[in-house]
Formats: sequence, C-alpha cells, structure tokens
Amino acid sequence: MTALSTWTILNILVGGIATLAIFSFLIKENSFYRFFEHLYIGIAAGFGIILPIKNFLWPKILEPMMGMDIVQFPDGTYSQEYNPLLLLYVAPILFGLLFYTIYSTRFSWMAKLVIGLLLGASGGMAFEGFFNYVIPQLEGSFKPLIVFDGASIDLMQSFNNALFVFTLLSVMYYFFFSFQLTPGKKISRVLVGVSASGRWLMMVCFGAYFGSTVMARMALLVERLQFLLTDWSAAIYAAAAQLGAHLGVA
Amino acid sequence: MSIRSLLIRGVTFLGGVYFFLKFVLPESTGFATYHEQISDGFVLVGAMALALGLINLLMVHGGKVLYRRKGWAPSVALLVGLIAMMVVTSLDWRETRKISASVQRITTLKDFADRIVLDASKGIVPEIAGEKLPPTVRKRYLLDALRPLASDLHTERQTLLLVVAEDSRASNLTLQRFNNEFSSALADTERLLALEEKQGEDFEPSGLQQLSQALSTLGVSFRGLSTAVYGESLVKHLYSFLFEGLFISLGAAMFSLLGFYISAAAYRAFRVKSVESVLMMTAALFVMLGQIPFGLWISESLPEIRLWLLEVPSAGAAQAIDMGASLAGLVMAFRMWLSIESESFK
Amino acid sequence: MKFSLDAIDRRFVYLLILIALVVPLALEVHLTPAPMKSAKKFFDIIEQVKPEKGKFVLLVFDFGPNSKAENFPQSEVVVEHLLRRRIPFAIYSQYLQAEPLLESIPAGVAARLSKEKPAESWEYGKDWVNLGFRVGGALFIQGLVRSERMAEVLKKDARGNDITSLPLFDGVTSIKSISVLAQFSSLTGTLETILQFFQSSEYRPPLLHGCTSITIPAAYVFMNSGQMSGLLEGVAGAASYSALLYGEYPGREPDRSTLMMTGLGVAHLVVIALVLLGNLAAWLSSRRKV
Repeated sequence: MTALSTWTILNILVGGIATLAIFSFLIKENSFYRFFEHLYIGIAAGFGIILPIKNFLWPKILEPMMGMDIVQFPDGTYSQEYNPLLLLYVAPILFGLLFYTIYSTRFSWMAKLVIGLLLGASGGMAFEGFFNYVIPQLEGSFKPLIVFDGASIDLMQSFNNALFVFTLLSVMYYFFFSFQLTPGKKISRVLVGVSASGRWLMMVCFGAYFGSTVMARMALLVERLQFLLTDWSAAIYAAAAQLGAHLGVA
Repeated sequence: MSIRSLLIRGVTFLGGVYFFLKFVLPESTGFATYHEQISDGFVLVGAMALALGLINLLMVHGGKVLYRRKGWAPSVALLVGLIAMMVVTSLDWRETRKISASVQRITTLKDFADRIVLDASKGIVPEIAGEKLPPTVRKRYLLDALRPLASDLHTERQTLLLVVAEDSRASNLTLQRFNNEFSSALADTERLLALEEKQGEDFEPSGLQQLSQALSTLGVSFRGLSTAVYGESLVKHLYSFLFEGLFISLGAAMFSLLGFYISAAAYRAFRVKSVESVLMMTAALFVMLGQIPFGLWISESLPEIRLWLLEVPSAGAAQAIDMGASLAGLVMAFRMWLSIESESFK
Repeated sequence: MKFSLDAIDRRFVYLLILIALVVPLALEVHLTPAPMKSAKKFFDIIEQVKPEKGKFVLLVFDFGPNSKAENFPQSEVVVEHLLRRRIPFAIYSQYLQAEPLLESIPAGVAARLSKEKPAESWEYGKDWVNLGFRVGGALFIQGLVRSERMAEVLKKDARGNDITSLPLFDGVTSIKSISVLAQFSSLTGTLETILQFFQSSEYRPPLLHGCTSITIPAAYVFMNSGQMSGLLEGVAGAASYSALLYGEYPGREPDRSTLMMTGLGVAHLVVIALVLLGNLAAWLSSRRKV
C-alpha cells in the first residue's frame, strides 16, 4: 500500500466523519448532522460564487473591457488594438444590476425586466432545442413493421418494432383528452382498450425506472460504505502509525 | 395594461427574438455574425445575479447568528463554510493568476516573435515615436528581452523547487517530469537564442518561428512546473480539504441516504394489489436481476430480457412521455416568450 | 415488545441493509459483472477511433459529488482507455461542481498509468487538455459549433495556456475535428442541452453517454433514435467497461467497480426481499382483519 501524505489522511478522516454525521440522521435528526449539513450548503454556496467570476466574468468580460489582455512588446508595439465595442458590455452589466432592485419595495418591478429578458431568451432558444431534440426521435419511431432478413421475415425484430410503435401510440393516446368518447360505440371500446394498453405499457416503463432507480440509489450507498470500510479505515491506521512514529512509539 | 407591464412584455419578447430569428433565418444571411458577443451579453446579465444568493444567505443565517434566533448554531457552520470556501477559492485564483503573470513574460515574447514574422511577411513596418521598426531591429529587441529572461528562469526554477519539501519533491512524479521538461525547453530556447545572436543583424523568419515554438513549449512547461509546485502549497491543500475532504464526502453521503430510504419504501409502500402494480413489479424484477452478477446465476438470459424491456416497451413509453413533455415545454416556452400567461406582470 | 411483521421499525430495515452490504464489502468478494451490450458499443467506438492530427475526443463531465458512485468510475475507465490508446482528448464541463474534477480525474488516471508503465509517460497538452468550466451552457455550445476555428472561441485552457500553444490543438478547426463526443452526467439537465445544440448543419459528432442508473430508461430513447451511439449504464456499465479493458490490457490494476457490483447485487436482492416481505406482511394483516 502506498504511503498516504498527511493532507490526504486528513481529507479522508474528515470525509469519513462527515459521512457518519450525515448517516446519524437515520437514527434521529441531531445537531451533529445539522452542523455538517449546513457546512455543506455553505461550502457549495462559496464555491458557486467565485467560480463564475473566475471562469467567465473576469477573463471574458472585465479583462478585455479594461484592456488588461493587451500586452506591450519590447519594441513598444502592442499585441492587439483595443476594441472600443467591448464597452458595450457595460449595458448588460447595468441591466443585470437591476436584479438588486428586488430589495426595494418601490423599484422591485424593475427586477421583472431582467427576469423577463432571460425567460424570453430561454423561450426563444427552445424552438431550436425542440426541433433538434424531437425530430430525430420522430424519425426513429417510424420503424418498419415487417422486417426482412434476406428472403424470410425476421419475426422477432418485426414483433419488436410493432410493439414499440404500438407502445408509443397507445401511451401518447393515453394522455390525449381532446375528444370525449361516446359510451357504447364500438370505436370507443377499442379506444378505451388502447388507452388501457397504454397504461399497462407505461407500468412496464415505470417498473424499468424503479429497477434502475434502485441501482442508482444503492450505488451511492455502496460507494460510501466502501469508502468507510477501505479508505477511511486505511486512513485511521495510517494516522495512528504517523502519530506513533511522531511520538517515538515503536 | 400599464406602461410597466408593456415594458416588461416588450423586454421579454426582445430577449427571445434574436434566438428565434437565428434559428429560422439561414446562416447565409449573416444574422448571427456576432453570436458569441450577444450570447456573452445574455450570460453576463444572468451572471449579475451572483450576489443575490450570497445576500440572501447572509441575511437569513447572518441574522440568525446576530440575534441568536432559534437554530443559530448550525448557521455558524454555514457561514464558516461559505466564508472559508470563498476565501480559499479566491486565494487559489490569486495564486493561479500569479502563475499566469509569470508565464506571460514568456508568452509575450513568443507572441512578439510571431508578430515579427507575420509583419515581415506582409511587409508591415511599424513606427514608434518616429522610429521605424524593421524586422532586424525588432529581432534585436526580442533577443535583448529574452536574454535576461532566460537567465532569470534558471534562478526561478531553483527557487520554485526549494519551496517544495524535499520528501514531496522526491515523491511528486508530476513535479519531476515538469522540472525535466522545463530544463529541456529552457536549454532548447537558449540554444536557439545563441543561434539567433550569432546571425547578428540577419533576419531569417524560420529561425524566429523555431524560437517561437521553443518559447511556446517553455511557457507550457514553466506553467506546468509552477502549477505542480503550487500543488504542494497550503492554499491548494486547504482547497483540496474543503472540496475533496468535505464537499465531495458530504454530497455523496447526503445522496447515499436515499439508498436507505428506497429500502424502507420498498418494504412499506410497494404493494402489489392491481394488474398495473403486478406489471410494474415484474418489469422491475427483471430489470434488477438482469443488471446484477447474481442474475447470471439464475439465468443467462436475464440480461437479454432486461435489455429487451429497456429497448422495446420501456423505450416506447418513455419516448411517448418525453415527446409529449417536450411539446408541452415548447408551448410553455412560446407562451413565456410572448408573455401570454404572465399574471404577475400586470 | 410485540413483534409485528407489518410494522417493523424503519431503523431495523436500515440496519438490515447496512449489514447486508457491509459483509460482502468487508470480505472483498469480486464477482464478474453482468455483460452490457451498450457498454460494449461504447467500448468498440472508442476502439475504432484512430489518433489523428487535428482530431480529438471531447469529454464533457457534467456531474458532481451527488453522482460520485456512478459517474466517477465511468469517466475514469473511459479516460484510461483513451490514454492507453493515445487518443488525445479535451475535457470541459457545463456544471460548476465538476470544475476541480476536470483536473483531478485525468491527472489521477495518468499518474496510475505512469506507475503501471514507468517507461511511458502521458503529457498534459499533448494527451489531454482541461478546458475548464464554461459558463453559458447552450449559448457556449452554440458559439462553439458555429465557429470555423474552435480555438478562437475556447481561447485558453483551464490552466491559462493559450489553446493554440498546446500540441493537441494543432490542426484543430471546427467541430468536425471532434471525432467523438462523450458526456457523463447525472440529473443535471445537461444531456438535453448537448442533444439539442451540439451539432452544426453539416456535422454532428457521435455521442456517447455515461448516465446515472435513474436515467437509463430515458437514455434508451436516444439510443433507439440514433441520437446516442453508446451508453454506460450507471456503475454497472462502468464495471462492464472495466471488464472489457481487462480483456484488452490484462496487466491492468484492479479497480473497485467489480467489488461494488457485488455489494450492489446483494442490495438488489435485499430490496426484492423487502418488497416481498412487505407484501406478505400486508396480506397476512388483511387476512387477520378478515
């Protein structure tokens, strides 16, 4: 086993204690759990505030706007000319500051301007997103109901395609409420049957979701238990060994 | 409808009109020529909301701590975590900027070499304060700046390595590798510098291009070395402690509780009482058994059955739900864009 | 205390699941994972990629600690495969929490490979590049796919190097330089952004996806429609991929995914048993009332 550095040992030890603190919630909510829960939120928030400034605001906007990305060469010339159009970024900066009018009772309506702009932008982008997202699915759902394998019919594939198309249509029909069915009519009985089939096939889908969700949730738990049993116990042992060596214990 | 309401609706519409037109108009119209700048503008507007969350957290939890309201103690943990992470991330950023500034001395000369070659190929002769700067003169400026820099880099390399503890220096393979790469790149640069100096006033573009390449490699390796040294610093260790030690562990642990909850839910809530629930449970059973090693002990066909379930009936139903939801999403987006349902804007 | 099958305290259930999971993990029982065709497709696509100047694989890490168990092993096995085959790749993220992982995951895998093969080395800038967390999501992607030179949009990598100074980006032009796009995500909504926007009118790179298990049924919709070419289904997909890597590189250091699959297998059986137990208890209870 490779020797762990002091900081790595500390990271793992603290990680294990934090994990046990969260697990203590299973017995009963307690202050140990609450402390670490709040610590997690604080760290996440702190992380989330600095990174957008570091990765976007400073290098892409403020630095070019202030001309700080222009360097002077040894002969006195400059790497590039300053583009005055960059000053146009002041407009979205000032407009974005209207978010903070939300704290004023009199001017809080101005925050709706900014929110409206962003909502409108996401609404406008949704068109391109929708067509790129749905059209390939629509194309893919036009499956041949009879599939030939050479000269003969591939029964399994044909059945699969037919079942897929029937599932797709019946589930879509299940959510179709635009027309009321007339009771007693034959067509209504057929459509009720299609709707019921849609419901049953959806249950198969939800069963698949449940089975997959079990794996997802259990994987998270197994990983944490693996961490505690392997990494954390190794870190405790390594910490004890380092402490012992430090104190001169053989 | 008041002017305020009209204004809000107008701004909402304007927000979406660019993206809508960008999608419907052909690229040949050149409508989206400034797409990057316009996109950055929109992102910038959204980024201005950064401090809103911070202000809210400080108001709620800061207020709890200041006035000793009920449950104030965990709020201290939140504020400590928040401030600690902000400080450490800012320090991390400051240190990486210092590294960038240090590397920039090299990349500036690299860019200068490229500019000399480019201007010479285009016949451009810049002028500064009445002095014309032909390529030969500019080359002299470049070499005069590079000579002391190369000398300084030798010293800086030694200084950097001394910052790192001896045992870390020996065990850190990345540090050793970058150190070797940097030494090699520096030697290469000095060799090319000597060659150029030997040429005197002669200007040969290929020589400067080689020097530019060497400076590029030198910049990358110096940055790598500085970053590897910085990786052994207290700031980086603190960052790693907060992110890997606390944040990752806490996040993983929070979500791992769901494993316990799903077990309890399986016992208490999952009742097989109707045809639908039988179908659901049967499908779930096949999917679960088909994805674990024990399923193979029961039947070799279980993974195939699982795959069939996922590819045929499940995919069909999921696609139907997905398409329906996407269509509903599009309609909602349209209504949002045109402010058709915006009671709060009135 | 009277014991009733239909009213077992939830804490006993938690204890049961804990014991059931701890035993196989403590005993370190490794079982062969169930084979997964989708993981094989993913593997084969990476196997078919040829290292070519001006071309690279783009990895997108859109996950955080909440899906550590599934997305971490997936990204590690794929990064390992790419590094072993010397296929250059670049990584970026649309998800803020993934930012430090973009540095630590490939560096960790490269360090592990260097220990396994001391005669070989893997270099940042040549074998992989970290493009960092990019703000803007769909807007950033739209800018990237429109450009004729990606370097003009990307400008610098996460370390501050000029993109054009990195050997990996030598000869890289538009998104046609991306031979394969592989995205790893949990429930972050980022897959939809990739599906909707990561394409130009002329080219869409083949998309491979590593998902958390919850979104497996939804991912099969995209596999069906051809929008996705390969899939890693949660940690089981990672374990299956790892087994395929063993087949190609037998000297490879064992990883934890097979041990995790054993634990997961036991967990699944316990959940099935709990469902049966709960239904049995409910049935017995209803009979008693009758």
